[in-house]
Amino acid sequence: MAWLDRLRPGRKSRRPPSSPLRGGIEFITPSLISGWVYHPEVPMRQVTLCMGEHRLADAAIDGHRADVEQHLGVSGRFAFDLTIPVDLPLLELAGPIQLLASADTAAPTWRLALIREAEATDLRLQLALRQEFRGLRGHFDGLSPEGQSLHGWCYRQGSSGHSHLWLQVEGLQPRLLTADQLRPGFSMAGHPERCGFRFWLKDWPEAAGRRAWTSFDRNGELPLPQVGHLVLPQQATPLPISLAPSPAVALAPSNPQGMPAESPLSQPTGRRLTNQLQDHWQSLEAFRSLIDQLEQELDQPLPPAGSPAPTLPSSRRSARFRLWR
Amino acid sequence: MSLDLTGQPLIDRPDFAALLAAGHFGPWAAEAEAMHRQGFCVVDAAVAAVERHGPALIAQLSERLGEQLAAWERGETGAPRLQDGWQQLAEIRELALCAPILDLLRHLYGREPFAFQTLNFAVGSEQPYHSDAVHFHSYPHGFMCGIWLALEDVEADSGPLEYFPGSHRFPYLSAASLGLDPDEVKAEPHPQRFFEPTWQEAVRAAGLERQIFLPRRGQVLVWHANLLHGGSPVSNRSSRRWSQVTHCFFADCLYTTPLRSFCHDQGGADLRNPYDVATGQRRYGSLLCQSLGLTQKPTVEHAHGPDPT
Repeated sequence: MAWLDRLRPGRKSRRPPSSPLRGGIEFITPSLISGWVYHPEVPMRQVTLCMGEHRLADAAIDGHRADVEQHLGVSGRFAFDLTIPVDLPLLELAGPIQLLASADTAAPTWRLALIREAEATDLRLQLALRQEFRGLRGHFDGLSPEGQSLHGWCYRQGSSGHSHLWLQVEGLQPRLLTADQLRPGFSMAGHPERCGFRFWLKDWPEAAGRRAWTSFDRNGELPLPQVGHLVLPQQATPLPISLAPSPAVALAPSNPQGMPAESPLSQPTGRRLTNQLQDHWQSLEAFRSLIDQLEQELDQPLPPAGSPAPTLPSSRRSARFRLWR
Repeated sequence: MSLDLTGQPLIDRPDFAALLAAGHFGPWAAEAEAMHRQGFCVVDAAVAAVERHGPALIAQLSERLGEQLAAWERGETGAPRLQDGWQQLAEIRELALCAPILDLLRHLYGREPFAFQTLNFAVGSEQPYHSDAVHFHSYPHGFMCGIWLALEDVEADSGPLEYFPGSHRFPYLSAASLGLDPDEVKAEPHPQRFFEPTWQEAVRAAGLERQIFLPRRGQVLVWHANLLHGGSPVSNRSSRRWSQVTHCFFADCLYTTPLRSFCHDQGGADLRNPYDVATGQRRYGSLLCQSLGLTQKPTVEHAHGPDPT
């Protein structure tokens, strides 16, 4: 079988000895595997997810990535996004799970590994194909713009229920999160609107100063994509008290860690408009929280003895902030 | 045997036009375009085979189905048919393995085809229109097709094959996609019924028009896995519609029964290990069967039967 011959791992005799492959896998999730591949002599065309001798899914290496081109100093299409079909029947076939890169000629193949985490590749690929994680996708955005919570999104393709994930903090037991919060704009690209999650840092003071990440599994072996390592601040940083939102807050990006604009994981829609809507919503949400706090303070009885200050009817309050909710 | 669960049939690919222009379909370009656009094509590729095997086959089928035919004429039973007669009659096997037809399929789909089931009819089936892809399908999707072969000229009053051009582009359905309850499906002798309202609504919404197939002897209609088709009403019970349907899969896929395939937490895909008519053996070897959790099924698999009404 021609394709199998081409993809069979271990054909090292045909591998150009002086031309190392560069790149690899950046993210492994139960629904998407992303990365980039470059070979100075062989034009890489395709990645294939294999289980033993069986081909499960493939994708073209044809994505533009400005950051990769800059890193390599070469122009070209080096990125790939391999979708793991949600309806792929569950298989327990013999053989290792591998992601192989190949050219479009009868060329050698290369087994790809996670960039900077090569030793975790095998386990993550195995986990990504397990039944309980099938169809899950998401992203850990990190610290929210106001610096008081962690946020991101997660959902299971083809399921109407809310998905769960785990917040991992180095040295502490993980905490279960539910992704059921509004992410305005997501539905524009066919994603559920209520797939966001948020965790307030004040609810876990022991986590301060430790490394944090989120994962699909309890053990933290299959993380949600994020950019770089996140170390939580020593203590939550409150917003400056102000009745008007500062331009810096209003314009803060949803992902303060600088997810590359091309990443399909940070931008599942691929649409700038969607992210702008999210940014605006998150900034407004932060501002709304601030106003709520101020309002509560105003509603408190005045220090001198006497009649209590009139409270704001809830209906009026809702009307006041309905545009921001 | 190794599985290749990637890709899709050439006739379904988004770059079909480029493939057509590049000559990928060889002598079958017109048929490829018809399959891509309408979901079926008609060819004369089996005329010689039917001339050779047809008369003897009809004689043998008449003998085997004689009593059932008489009962059908009296309105006592459903339309008689012989399923998987290739295991008993060499003529059926020869027609199922008609080389020009297999060559056509090889070009249209880009994989090696194999026949896995035959159905021989004496009269119109009057079966409600349906997509075969809920009864047997493949992963990756689309690597299944039906071949309708006329063993004699078909008259309009004999309940000819009917179909809806363009319906092959409707979404593939399964018990999972309709959210069916496994217990309900298990309890229903004809689970196709669960799908019929969806197809009827899709046809109505798309404004598709029904066509009927009135072939000459030896003509073949190849239909796409998802083309809605059925048997039109028989208005003359003394007329005959001798025909053979051959269902084909393609190599290196997983083979499923979608109307018994549920979400992962309800049991997942219902896998099957089809026969290969050419070899007379099951397609998967014991090792792969074991890996896939498949047990050997009964000698004769159940096809989608006529509606009990």
